[in-house]
Amino acid sequence: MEPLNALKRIFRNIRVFLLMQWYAAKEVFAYRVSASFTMVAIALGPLMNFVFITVIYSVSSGIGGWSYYQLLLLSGVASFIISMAWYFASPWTLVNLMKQGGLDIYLTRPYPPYLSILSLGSIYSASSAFTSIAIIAYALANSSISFMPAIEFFVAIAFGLAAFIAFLLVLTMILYSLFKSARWTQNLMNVFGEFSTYPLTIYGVMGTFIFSLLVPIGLATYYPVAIIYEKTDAFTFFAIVAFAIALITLFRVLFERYLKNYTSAIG
Amino acid sequence: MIEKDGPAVRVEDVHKEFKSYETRHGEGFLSSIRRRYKMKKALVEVSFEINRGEIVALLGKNGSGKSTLIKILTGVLHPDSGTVEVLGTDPWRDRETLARRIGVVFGAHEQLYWNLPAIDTFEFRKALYGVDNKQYNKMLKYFIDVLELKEIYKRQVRELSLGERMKCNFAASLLHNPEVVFLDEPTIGVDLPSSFALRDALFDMNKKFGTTFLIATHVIDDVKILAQRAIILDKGKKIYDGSKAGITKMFGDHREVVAYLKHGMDAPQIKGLNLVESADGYMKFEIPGKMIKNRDLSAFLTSENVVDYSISEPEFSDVLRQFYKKRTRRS
Amino acid sequence: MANDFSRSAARYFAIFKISAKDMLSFRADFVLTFIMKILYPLVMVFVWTVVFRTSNVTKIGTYNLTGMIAYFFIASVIELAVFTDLPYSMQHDIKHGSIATKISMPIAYLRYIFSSNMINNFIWGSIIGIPLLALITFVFGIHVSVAQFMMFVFTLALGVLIAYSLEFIIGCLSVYTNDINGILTFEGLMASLLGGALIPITLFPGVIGKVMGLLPFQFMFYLPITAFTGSTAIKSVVLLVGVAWLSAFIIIGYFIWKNAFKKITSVGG
Repeated sequence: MEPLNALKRIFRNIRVFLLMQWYAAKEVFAYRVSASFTMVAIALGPLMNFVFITVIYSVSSGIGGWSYYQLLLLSGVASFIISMAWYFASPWTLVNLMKQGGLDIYLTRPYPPYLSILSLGSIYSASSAFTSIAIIAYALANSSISFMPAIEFFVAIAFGLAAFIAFLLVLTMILYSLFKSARWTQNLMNVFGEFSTYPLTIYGVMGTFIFSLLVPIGLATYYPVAIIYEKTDAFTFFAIVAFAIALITLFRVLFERYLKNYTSAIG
Repeated sequence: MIEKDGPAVRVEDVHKEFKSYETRHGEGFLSSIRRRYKMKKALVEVSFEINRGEIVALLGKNGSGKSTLIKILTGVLHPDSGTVEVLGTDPWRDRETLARRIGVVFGAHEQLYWNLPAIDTFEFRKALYGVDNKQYNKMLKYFIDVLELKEIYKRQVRELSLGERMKCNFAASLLHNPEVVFLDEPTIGVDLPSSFALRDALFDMNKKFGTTFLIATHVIDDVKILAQRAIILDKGKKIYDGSKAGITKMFGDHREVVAYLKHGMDAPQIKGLNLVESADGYMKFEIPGKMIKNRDLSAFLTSENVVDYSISEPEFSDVLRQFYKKRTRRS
Repeated sequence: MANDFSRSAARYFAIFKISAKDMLSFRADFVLTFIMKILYPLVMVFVWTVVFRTSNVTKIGTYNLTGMIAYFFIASVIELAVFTDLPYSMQHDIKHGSIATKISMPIAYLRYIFSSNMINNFIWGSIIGIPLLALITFVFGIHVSVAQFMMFVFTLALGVLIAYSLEFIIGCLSVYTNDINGILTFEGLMASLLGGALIPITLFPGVIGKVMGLLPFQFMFYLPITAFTGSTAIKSVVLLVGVAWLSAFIIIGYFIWKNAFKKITSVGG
């Protein structure tokens, strides 16, 4: 009986989440012209990296140990992860909510607060996610990959993304309590994206450490791509998933602690 | 477990404290990492019960703890100590299940989608709370009727006035016909016709559906017109819990006498008569309630120079002001 | 005109003497911008180091490793000058009707919006840009002759003016559309790509590189950077192209502004 209820709840939460996305999208497209322009502009973001990498590989041999398509896949995954981060964890929206005390409203609704917080991101990022997926598909079509590594690739990305989003939510709250604004988190997100567009190994041991253990974006970008191109050993996949689960649990605890001490703007 | 009987709201011995940070000007930005804070007592030993079908006003100055109490009752915050039960269940622990049976209207925050017409938000709420079509259509029609939304609910929300938005917000928040509704300053800044409509709707819902209402408010008319009972908070403590008449009796037991004069004259020297205002051809006094039958006063009012007079109860807002004044003097 | 300018400057310096509380957020903003201006090109340090090593070359195009890295750092600094808040200021004024109430004459508004944004941009850009530029010059051992510096200032000024006129046109468009954010983002991406902020335009193959040499965006990044480092000589015909584009944008801007202003005042803010 219990697992059935739990399943029912999960489906209900998904349904509610999609519902909120639908209306958020509807609101954004109330003004079709400016919304369309913004969608196009944001879709171009991942293409910039695409152009950059193409030019590099046309004027040089590129990055050692990485073919053109391999690097394309990495950049596609990186921009996909950043798009998803903006889509689910937009710091600007979260901070605005906390500033104006608007978080209260979401806490009075009959479902978990995470759902509300995750559904408030930037709808526009869906368009850059699509371009990223196109780049990923293009790169995969031109690579030779085996079945198991491919499965591990997708699973690792899913877990890594969840861990990264959890990390970002906590980071946003910490930086908000320090600086009372979202600007630091927003800028840092883009910096993380830039760094993870290229293989972490080029940043040395320090860099690899920072972007896999400190800022868990590597779990969703570098390592899954290394896995699918079999650049790592079998152990890595399990380490990634285990570490991601540990992080998600940790950040969830931190998040709930913050929620308990939550005081909104209006006393 | 949501009890069928029992009070709608039960609050026992609730305490809540906050960290209140001080920002220091002109210091380096590292100082923001280690800021001093004071513990502010938002609620102290608050206890009361609200039965089903009551309309209760929650009064108090800014910072008295009204909003904090509402947030605790709706599961947004949780108390440091004490018991809170809404419909027999703990709102913090059972927030999600309870949320379907309660309604919340925050005056300062609207739930409406800004770029869309209000009807879209209604349909969103319908899907959100799983309201079936029949019930939805019934409640929609009801609100359009009682809140006069006919010209409004299909227009883009950003084009509406604050009052119109509040009415739509009210409807959107209560479409699922909850048993207990908490409101936090619902009529603040709202134009008169809209606030009348809001109060009508609230009163009607109470009559028709037996909905219990707790309204945290500043606006005197909310109390005067709607509430049978008032709970007053001051600095986190409950200082009064009873009927409006009770407050009036405590501090409002005086009357206002206005006398309209033919010619200007000096105020009559009667003991207990307090001259409040005087102008050419008119005088306003304050007298203790028991003086209305005073012979000297009657003689004055029926004298030749007085062409007309009226004796009326004081404005409830004045009563409250007296009430608060007495409190500050005492503390 | 110069008198007005100095008066506006004085006024804005006065506004700039901000309260202690604002000073706090100002300092935080300053630190944030400074850090970001260094972090983004830092990625390029690692990338190009590996690329040069993998190909085992000393030059790619006309750039050696140091020059290539320096290119991106300078681009990062120049960004401060060529991307401004002008369109957002205009959109804010237009949407909130403050144009109609603020000033009745179109030219007065133009003077106001340009001077306030230019001064803000100039001050902010100088406070961060000049130290950064000096640091970059020192770290990368760039020799800047007087002639190079003059050319740098000239091409940068041209680039800034082109950027302003383009941004002004976009700002006017907020009269016709709900939000110019998308258009502006698009313009920013195009300027970065076609202007050489993403990668030096000479690295683009054949035809594409030639086309970029005809567009106005090169004045925003590629040409000032190249002038500063003196890596390639700049032909005077290119400068004429820039002046031609600037004139075109000014003329377009003039007509759009006339139409837009008419629309604003007819609706009544």
